[in-house]
Amino acid sequence: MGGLDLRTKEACHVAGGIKFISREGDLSPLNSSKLGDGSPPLQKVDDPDGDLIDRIAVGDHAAVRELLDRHLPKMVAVGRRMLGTQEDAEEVAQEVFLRVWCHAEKWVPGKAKFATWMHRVAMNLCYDRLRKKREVVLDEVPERIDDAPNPIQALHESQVARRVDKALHELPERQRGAIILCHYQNLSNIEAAQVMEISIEALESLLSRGRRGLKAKLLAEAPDLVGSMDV
Amino acid sequence: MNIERFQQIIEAYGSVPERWPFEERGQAMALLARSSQATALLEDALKLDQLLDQSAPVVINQGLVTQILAHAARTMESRPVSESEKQPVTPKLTRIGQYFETFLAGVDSIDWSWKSVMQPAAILGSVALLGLTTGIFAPEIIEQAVYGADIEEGFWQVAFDDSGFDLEGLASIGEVE
Repeated sequence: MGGLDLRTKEACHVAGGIKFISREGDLSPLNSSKLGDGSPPLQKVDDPDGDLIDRIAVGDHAAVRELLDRHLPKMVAVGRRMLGTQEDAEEVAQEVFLRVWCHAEKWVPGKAKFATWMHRVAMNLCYDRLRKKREVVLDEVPERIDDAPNPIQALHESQVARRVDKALHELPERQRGAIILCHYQNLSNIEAAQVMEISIEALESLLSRGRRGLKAKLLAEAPDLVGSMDV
Repeated sequence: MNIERFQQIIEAYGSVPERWPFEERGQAMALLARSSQATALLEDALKLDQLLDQSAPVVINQGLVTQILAHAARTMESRPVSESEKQPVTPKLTRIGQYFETFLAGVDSIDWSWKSVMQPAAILGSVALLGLTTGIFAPEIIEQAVYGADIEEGFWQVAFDDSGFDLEGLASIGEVE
């Protein structure tokens, strides 16, 4: 884990291009007036995290743990697939949750799911980091530790996983983001469009181009990967 | 739904119906049930989905969990207390008033042998003391903008008000707005 220096008070006030839903509503990142033309309309949502956020706002530590269990893997997953390294992913996840603790008491329920807002924060943090690292070319996705019991199977799975992650990482950022949100994070098309601040049509365009790019890299260049999977 | 729209959906969202747009899912499923072309498109998308699912699983380190929980605890501790939890503010000017009130009560309780002369003299001395105190503390207090312009007005009121030393009024002057 990296040396992320997050002193609470300062970090709570870091804007980082990220705003959260205020009581006034006009700073809302998910406010429909801020989205592009054709963006999905916002409706009152039933938020499965609403109760947890209320409890966190009054300092309930059990709720903190519950929210962490529920969403930490998702935030790390976004970070790792967007940025390519576990270290960056963990730092992004830390920053997301720090914002949660800071802003839980100001959350206005009903406009969007809290998880959607968390994804939005995570994606923006990833874009910030990618912008800073743009000059660094990542030729290879870092090795990961695989604890699968069968070494041969583990080797094969590891190779496939690395090919998939590499192909994903080579996609343009926005296409990669759209595929991560819809395929890996299982967000609905409306939620993913809200996170990315784009219309449904634009989201579908990014998804189609992204999947086409992945297909070209994975299926055309390595048909053996597919053949070994009993498709 | 026609096959063109079905193809757009498959190309964007892949082979898993749960990922398809909710409002079009039923129609797409109906088309899939009756169209071999739709089935072929689905099977093609399934190959890519299965590859994508081979992506490395997410690993969560316990150290990360511990660190985030520590952040949460620190953040909650550093939150400002609510209005109802705040202790009553005792600004410097209020304290001065309290000291002065105590002093006057002490003066009044003394059994003066020259009461007709000494008591007014003590009162005058008190006024002088208040002036001295004001001179010492006023610049510092006025710098504390939180007390607002009422402070300066309060001093003049205490010094020159015909009604005498309204100590209760003085005490309220320094209250934070």
